[in-house]
Amino acid sequence: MAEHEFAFRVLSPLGTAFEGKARSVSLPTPDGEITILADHMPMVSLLADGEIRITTSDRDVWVAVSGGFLETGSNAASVLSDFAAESESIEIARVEAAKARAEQLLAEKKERGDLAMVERDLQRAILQLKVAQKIRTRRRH
Amino acid sequence: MAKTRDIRKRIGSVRNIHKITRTMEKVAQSKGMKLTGRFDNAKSFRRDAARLLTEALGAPLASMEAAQNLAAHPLGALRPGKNRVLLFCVTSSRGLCGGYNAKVIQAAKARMEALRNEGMESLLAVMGRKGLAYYRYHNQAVAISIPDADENIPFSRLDEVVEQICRQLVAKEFDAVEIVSTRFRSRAVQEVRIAALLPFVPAIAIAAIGTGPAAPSEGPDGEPLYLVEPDRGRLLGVLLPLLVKAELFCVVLEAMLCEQAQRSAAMRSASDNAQSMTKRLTRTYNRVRQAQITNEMIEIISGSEGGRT
Repeated sequence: MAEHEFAFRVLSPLGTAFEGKARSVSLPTPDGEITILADHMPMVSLLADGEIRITTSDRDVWVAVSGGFLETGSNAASVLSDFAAESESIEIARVEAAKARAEQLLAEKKERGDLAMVERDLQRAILQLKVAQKIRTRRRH
Repeated sequence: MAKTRDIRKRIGSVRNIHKITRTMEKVAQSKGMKLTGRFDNAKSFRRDAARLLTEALGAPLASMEAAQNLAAHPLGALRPGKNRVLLFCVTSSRGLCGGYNAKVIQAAKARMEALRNEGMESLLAVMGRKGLAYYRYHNQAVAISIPDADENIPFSRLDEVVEQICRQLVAKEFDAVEIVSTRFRSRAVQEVRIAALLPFVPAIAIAAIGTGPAAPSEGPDGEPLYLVEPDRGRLLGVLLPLLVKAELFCVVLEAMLCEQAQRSAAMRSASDNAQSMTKRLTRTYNRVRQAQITNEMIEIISGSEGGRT
């Protein structure tokens, strides 16, 4: 069913987190989750923090994303975000270390300016772990 | 005797210097290669984000309408009585990169003077330890300092900086932001340029799109009808800071690329220098050694001649 696929990519300043053909993509928006299929009407939307689920012809891919934009048009869609990490590229040990560090910093309650950044780092770490976990539980089946 | 030993010692140390500078050149080269990749990624991100701006504004970037819509946003609002300008100087944290930092500081100084002549004040935001050290030594106040700038700077670190700058701009602590940084034209040619960052005008986005190979996506009948969710105002509110970040990230990566290119050039000339010095010293060493041998021979011969008679 190749005709029901569309080009999808996820872009962050650090590089392309995902690029390829997708059958359907579910994304978090501030108003709730939306799913887009092939030949979606042109649209620009804000994204919320969360996970993107990309269903391709042979597998599901999860991408952790924090904010950003979705743009669709001419049977292609792209996501632009500050931060995007594909589940298979996430290194659990590193993320866990980052999470522990953020938690420690929060516990010590450093000066206020830093706190928001630390909290965001923590959120991103938790998000990445959640997404990384997905692919692992699926593989067990 | 003592002289040959001194020369030998010097040859040894010059050889060591050569080894070190050659290694530093290679390291700078490989860092530059890595940065090229990151810079390309950041550029394509910036281009796509700039294209989104067209949709968020609901008008082509070059149109009056777009400019007006943009000016309605606090980050895009032009302030006619522009009094205070924040100069964002991108310097390096490490030295040994030729005139890299000096040129940026010089350009910033010239710009500050020009602004003063026009009756405007300037504030400084400095990235990189070298620039900070300069301003500390010269007792100049730095409004925003970012000392931890190296080639692994994460996007999230700049988040913080951009958020701070945007907050202060909206709070009218300054009215405009300009970036003083080194631009990469080729491996051999880099130049310091001053570019406007805030208030965000369509020209910045147009320049960002222009750097990419692909043309902006447009429907067959000119402008595609976009469904914008939740609404244009909110979209713009999120997109503008992101664009500023993408722009700054690109500029910083570009500057770092230049830093590595200049360091590798500086180190190459240093190691060439060391090499020719070794050659010269070796020559002198051989000559001195030969002179010594000749001397000794003369002494021996004249000694034996004296014994015979």
